[in-house]
Amino acid sequence: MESFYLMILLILPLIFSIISLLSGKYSKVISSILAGLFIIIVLPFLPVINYTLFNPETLYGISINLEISYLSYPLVLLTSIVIFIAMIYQDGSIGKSYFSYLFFLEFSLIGVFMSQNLILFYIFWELVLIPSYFMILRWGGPKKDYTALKFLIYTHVGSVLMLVSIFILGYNYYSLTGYFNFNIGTLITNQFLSNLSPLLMFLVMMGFFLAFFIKLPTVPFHTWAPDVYVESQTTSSMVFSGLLSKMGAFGLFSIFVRFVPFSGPDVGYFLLSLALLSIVYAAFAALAQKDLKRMVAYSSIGHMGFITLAISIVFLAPVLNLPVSDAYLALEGGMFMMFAHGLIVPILFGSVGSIERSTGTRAIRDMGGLTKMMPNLAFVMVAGFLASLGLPGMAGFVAEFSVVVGSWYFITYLSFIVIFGLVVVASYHIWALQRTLFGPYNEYLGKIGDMLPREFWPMIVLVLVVIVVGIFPSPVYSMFSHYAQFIGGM
Amino acid sequence: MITYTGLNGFLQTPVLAAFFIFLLPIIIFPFVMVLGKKFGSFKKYAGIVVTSGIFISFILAYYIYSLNTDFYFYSTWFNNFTWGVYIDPLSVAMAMMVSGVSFLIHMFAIGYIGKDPNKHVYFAETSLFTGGMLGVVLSANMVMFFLFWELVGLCSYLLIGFWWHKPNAASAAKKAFIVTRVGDVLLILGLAVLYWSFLPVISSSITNDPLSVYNIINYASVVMKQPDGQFYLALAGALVLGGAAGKSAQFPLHVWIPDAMEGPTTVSALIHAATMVTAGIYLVARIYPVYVYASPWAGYLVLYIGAFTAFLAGTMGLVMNDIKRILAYSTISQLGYMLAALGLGFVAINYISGNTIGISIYHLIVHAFLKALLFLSAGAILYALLDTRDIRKMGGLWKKMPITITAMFIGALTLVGFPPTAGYFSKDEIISLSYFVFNQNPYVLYAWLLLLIGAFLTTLYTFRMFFTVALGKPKSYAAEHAKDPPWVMIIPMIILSILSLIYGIFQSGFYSYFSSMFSGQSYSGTVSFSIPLYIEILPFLLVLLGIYIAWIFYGSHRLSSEKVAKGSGSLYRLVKAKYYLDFLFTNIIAERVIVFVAIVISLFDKYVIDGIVNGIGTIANLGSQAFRKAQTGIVQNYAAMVILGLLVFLIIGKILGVF
Amino acid sequence: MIPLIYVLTISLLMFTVGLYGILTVKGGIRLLISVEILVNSANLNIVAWATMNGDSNGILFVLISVAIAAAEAAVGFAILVALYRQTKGVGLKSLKELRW
Repeated sequence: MESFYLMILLILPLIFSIISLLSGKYSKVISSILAGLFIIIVLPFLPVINYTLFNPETLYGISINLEISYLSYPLVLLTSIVIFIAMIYQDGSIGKSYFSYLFFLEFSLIGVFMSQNLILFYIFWELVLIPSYFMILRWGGPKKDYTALKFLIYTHVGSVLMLVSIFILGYNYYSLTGYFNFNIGTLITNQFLSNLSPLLMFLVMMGFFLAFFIKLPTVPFHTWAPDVYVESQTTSSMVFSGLLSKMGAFGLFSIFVRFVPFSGPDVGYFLLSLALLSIVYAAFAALAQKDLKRMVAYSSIGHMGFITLAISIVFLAPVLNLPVSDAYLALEGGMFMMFAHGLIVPILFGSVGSIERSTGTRAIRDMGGLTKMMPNLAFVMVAGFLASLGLPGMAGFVAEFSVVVGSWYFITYLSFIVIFGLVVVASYHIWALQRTLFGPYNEYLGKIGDMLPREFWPMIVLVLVVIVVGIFPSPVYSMFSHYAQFIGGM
Repeated sequence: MITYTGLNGFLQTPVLAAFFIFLLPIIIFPFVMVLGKKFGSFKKYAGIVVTSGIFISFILAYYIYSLNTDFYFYSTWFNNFTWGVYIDPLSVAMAMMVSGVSFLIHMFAIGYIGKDPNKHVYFAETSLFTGGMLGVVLSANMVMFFLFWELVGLCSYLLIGFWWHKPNAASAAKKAFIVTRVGDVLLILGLAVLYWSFLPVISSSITNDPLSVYNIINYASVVMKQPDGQFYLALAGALVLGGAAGKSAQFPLHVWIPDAMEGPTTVSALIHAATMVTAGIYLVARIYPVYVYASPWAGYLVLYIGAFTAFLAGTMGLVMNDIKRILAYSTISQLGYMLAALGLGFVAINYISGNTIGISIYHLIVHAFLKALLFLSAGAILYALLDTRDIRKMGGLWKKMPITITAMFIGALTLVGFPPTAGYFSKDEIISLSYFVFNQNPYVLYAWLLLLIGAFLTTLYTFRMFFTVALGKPKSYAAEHAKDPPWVMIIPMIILSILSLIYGIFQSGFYSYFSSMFSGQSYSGTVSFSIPLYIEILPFLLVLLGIYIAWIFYGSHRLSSEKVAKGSGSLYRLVKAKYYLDFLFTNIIAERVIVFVAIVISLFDKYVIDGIVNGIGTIANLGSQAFRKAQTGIVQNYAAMVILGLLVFLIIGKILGVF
Repeated sequence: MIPLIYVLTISLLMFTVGLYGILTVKGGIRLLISVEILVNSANLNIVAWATMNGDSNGILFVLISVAIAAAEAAVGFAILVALYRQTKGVGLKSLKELRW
């Protein structure tokens, strides 16, 4: 279905960004209300809707080609929800420019999720870096200069290589047909891609691979993530970890998987080893952390490993001579993990942020028995950590279960590595809970306050949403099923 | 088996009743939590509300039982998976046991928890737990089953750590969660194997869900005929057994239960004696056909893990001095008997007609009664003795707390299997069965011996505990001033005592109730067998011998147990240290190996991988440092550069033929 | 007429002198003189070729070039005067502000 309202949907956050700049000291209130309104506006845009503004042939292949597909709708919805939660959580005294940056970020994220033209996709992809850089630079922790620069350059390197890939594809198309056309629907299809020589195909895949896997992040391209998630403001971490990583995942599920028919066994097995490495490595690294926020950062990286695992399963299907429909369970699990993790990780960072504000420290050994002074936080934190380790009844379990069960058929005994990772994940979560919330109270902390209402209520809402999605995953899950079948058809 | 589906099916009375059995306590949970927190005056009603809710569940379960039909309701959940309820004799029996015993324990808890300021949290969590356990036994799909299984594990974690400010309790809760998590992930893999094994063969079934209980039970025979079908069934069975071992504390995942005794005694009674730990046994029984059609090694694995645990835990119970820990090891040991009974059914499948579910579950239910009884009487003792748990500080309590000690005595007799208590009918049946199978199958010899010696050990530690606690002179101030607890705590004990005494009557009725399972298969109906009389009374003779020996050491003190302990020196230390298993898991694997690897990896991440990233930055920096020396600021240098460049350009152009 | 090769040689020599001067002198005035020599060598070259071919365009070009050279010398001297005011000398060594 064609609809002009998609343009409006896209432009709205940009307009909101300007409005919040003009709101002066009421910026937090106005921004939160606008963000909430935006969620309601997003809801009716059920897939599939698309809109094209320019004909790509006329403008050197660039066109404004937007689409809400079965994959992007949950992500757009997730974006609006997380930004809304972050705005409510955020302390208003940080200034109006922060909320403005958040809206601008929302604008570029939605642009990424909706773009169907590669150049447009690239523009929005890079546009995300601008507000993020400033958000880290202006309000970050002690290492903010180093961190902001590292983030910018590291992810930019990947993006630029993606640009090279895009140009290779575009030029190839031009030499074949005499026109420029950068639409995803034209370029990333079996029919066109089969024209590429193996060397070019390799280069193209390499560019996209680097861009997406650096953004995800996956080991070994992950080292920007712990610094960024730790040094930023709590709400910035929520948004970075909850949404920016989904950009990379989105790219994987919409663009990278379409290369499956052209890749040999080495790609599948390489991705598989990356995935297993990510899951186990991040779990162990998280176990050793002494800073609570850094531990949460590594847990986020570990969760993304499941997405990599799901992708690798799709690549392995032709290698093992199995029908691609067998990979649907794992694929749907990976996509669901995007959605679930995006909801869960703000709870984790929110809890840590509360502790940091209340006690003034993030070091685990300085905490202990916090339940005594902060019972509300204890409830939220236990719920969040249990969701993060994949407790059934919460959204994360549906994702992890689908991926683990779905991948057994393809990797049989290697699954033991995955479940070993799961045990380590459970261990560090429970150990952290025990050291921070339970046990005798650390009297050196003195008298501390509990979670503030602006922190508590958004977290509770997220916990409830996570539980509801965990018990009734069907609405969101069926969208991903649709998308999986659509991909499988190619 | 009647099947219902869709909204119409959901609205049938039996289906609604089944759902309410487990939904009601779960719904009560948030109400009690929030109301108790907001209104302090509500707290004293928390216990009554929860207990009544569970009583309603019990009535509903009895109603389902009275319908005497099996039925199955399913509805689509996500992907292929369904959710629903599956009612057959196994689930009904379990549901009635769980709700009934839970009801009695809750009644006791109202008195035991007393004036604790968090009592609403306690009762809310136990309500959630009971609902979860009922969900476990009524689930129609293994994913739903797993959901409730973990829910129950979560409540166990929360309740063990109920007094979270005690570091021992917090640490015990963490250990329980992590050890059961190891089992749980094995269970997930087992479900994965089942999923892929059953997916290709169920196209003709009423539902396309490969993990629905209905499909697993009815199509296991078809899976066996697939290539490697038997192997995959066995692999699934072994992995699922791993999960069951975690929850039911079988070797080697038994290490969490003794520590779990840090929680309130009513928690130990409810979760770690009667209900949650039986979930593992239920799991194996629920997917019985998988093991029937699997390669035989799966059945042997079940049998020997059960038998070995029964024996091992028995030895450890002998050297403990904490009354709750003795009972904890006893629980582990008895669970081993239940598991072994199921294992015997698998191993002997080719020469018996029938299944051993009835036998195993009968012992499960009898054990639930007697263990709850024993824990509750221990709870009454702790309540009276201000939480003294060391049995060496008790003594002479039969004079001070007659009702409690009588209840404990009945429990002890049932535990050791002294006729005519129900324990004789349940436990000795398993031992006799193991002899019967051994007759046909020499590989089962060790199982029979382990179970037999286990019975002897059971008697020894049980009566060691009983004589030390009940007889002699009070050995502490608290013991001197003990008295029987209030009536709200005595009534459940009395009810459980009566049940323990008379439940033996129901044995044959119980077995015939289970005969409707697996109708049409060769293994339907409870297996019947006979063995020579002199073998059959062997356990009873061992019981008498055990009581006598216990009497010598702990009753009349003619022989001294300390001398025996010193005499056996290193053996005694080995057992007392729980065979160093706990030490291995906690100190070596967890603390040394895993944490060491974690630290190595995090340092590697910081210095090597990040080092490479920073290194690239440093190289870029060095490069620019080198190159910027060309900016000398002296114009003539620049002019020279221009001319030089022009020259190079001209020369290259000449070489390439441009000019 | 004077053989072409002689004029071209002179032009080349002048070019070399001028180039060398630009690259190596230390005084500002000497730099300007070198620049003049350089420009004039090019002019000479063009004139030589033009008269040989009888093409008046070249001569015209040289005339304009001389005018521009004069203007440029004037600008150069203006810069030197400003420099003198700054550093009381016209040495080129002191012009290192744009150094790394």
